[in-house]
Amino acid sequence: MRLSDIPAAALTERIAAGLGLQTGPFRFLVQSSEAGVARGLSQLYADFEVGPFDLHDFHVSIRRPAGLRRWIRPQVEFAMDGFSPFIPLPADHAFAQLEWGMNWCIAAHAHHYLMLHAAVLEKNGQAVILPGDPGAGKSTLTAALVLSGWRLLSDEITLIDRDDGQIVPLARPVSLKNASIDIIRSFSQAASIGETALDTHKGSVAHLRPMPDSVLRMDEKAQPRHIVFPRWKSQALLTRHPQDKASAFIHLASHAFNYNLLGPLAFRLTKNTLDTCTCQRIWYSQLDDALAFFSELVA
Amino acid sequence: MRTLHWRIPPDASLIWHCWPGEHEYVLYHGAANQTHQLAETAGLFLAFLASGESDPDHFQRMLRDEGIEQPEEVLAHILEALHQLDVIEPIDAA
Repeated sequence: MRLSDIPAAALTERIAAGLGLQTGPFRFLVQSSEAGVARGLSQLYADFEVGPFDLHDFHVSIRRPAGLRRWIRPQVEFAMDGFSPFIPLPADHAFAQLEWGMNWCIAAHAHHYLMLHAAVLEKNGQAVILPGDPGAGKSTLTAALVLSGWRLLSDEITLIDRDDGQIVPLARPVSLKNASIDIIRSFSQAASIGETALDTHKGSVAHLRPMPDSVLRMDEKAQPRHIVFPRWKSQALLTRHPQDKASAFIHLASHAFNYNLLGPLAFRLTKNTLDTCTCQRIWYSQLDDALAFFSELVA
Repeated sequence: MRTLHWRIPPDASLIWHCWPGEHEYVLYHGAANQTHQLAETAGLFLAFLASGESDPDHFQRMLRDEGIEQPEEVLAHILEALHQLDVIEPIDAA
């Protein structure tokens, strides 16, 4: 059963009671009475499989903390199993906080995978990993690739299977920030972007709905073939440079969520990933140039 | 003065790798749960020790034979850096 199969009138009630939501290998039980959460899930998770499931990996909620703040400039807080890892945020950030909270659940607990801080997409059977420092334009590029026929495997957390080294899909809405929201809105009419949360600690934040193909193929792992470190730079013509693998290794390891925790296993998995991949850096200013580069990469 | 000999500490749990065509190594130091990027000569020195060698003079001659300039300084730098990381330790070669 897909979330879009639930009648709109019943969805709010379902979420208030607890909605089972499958995203990649994880099952969340999402509970909230916030209208913003219901709207976000309805628009951005329409193609996702929903429960009831017998078991859930994470029980999460977005709820209003007790006290006067329930009524005056109301806030919401994310909780997993009753534990709130973040400070409360304004109520109109409810959906964004749910997304951040779900990311936190995975990043802090799913240590049966090596988790790299990177986007990852697939085309022609080749997964391309996009690590990126903040401001590198990774999410904008990821969104443009998603809207250009690439399968989204993840926009934030690259899951590497410890048994076979393949990428485990974790397609979720793509987080867009600030100027990239309008860039992607005007990039493609197919872009379905949720409500914008203004003045968050990351600025304005909105999410792009993943394409149905990425959601429906969530069980289909992909072989890593390329690692590309993107860097958006104003006015830059597209340039590409080979990246040595030792430096790429250090970057991946230092930006992984659980490299230190997995120790020698993480070393081997990172090494094996680099063994199977080409490795390069690109600078770009125009999305079309970058898209042409990626098409050529997996041709 | 007798030259110190060196070895990899038995409990260091090192794994290292260098990709073909590249000149730098990645090193995992299990005892410290740390990962480092090493210059090629430093990686080769670890491989040298792992092969059962311990005499740095021998390695220095190899550096000289390979045409590496100022092998004494290169070796001294390698020894200092690797010792600081606790991935090598001096031994009594008497």
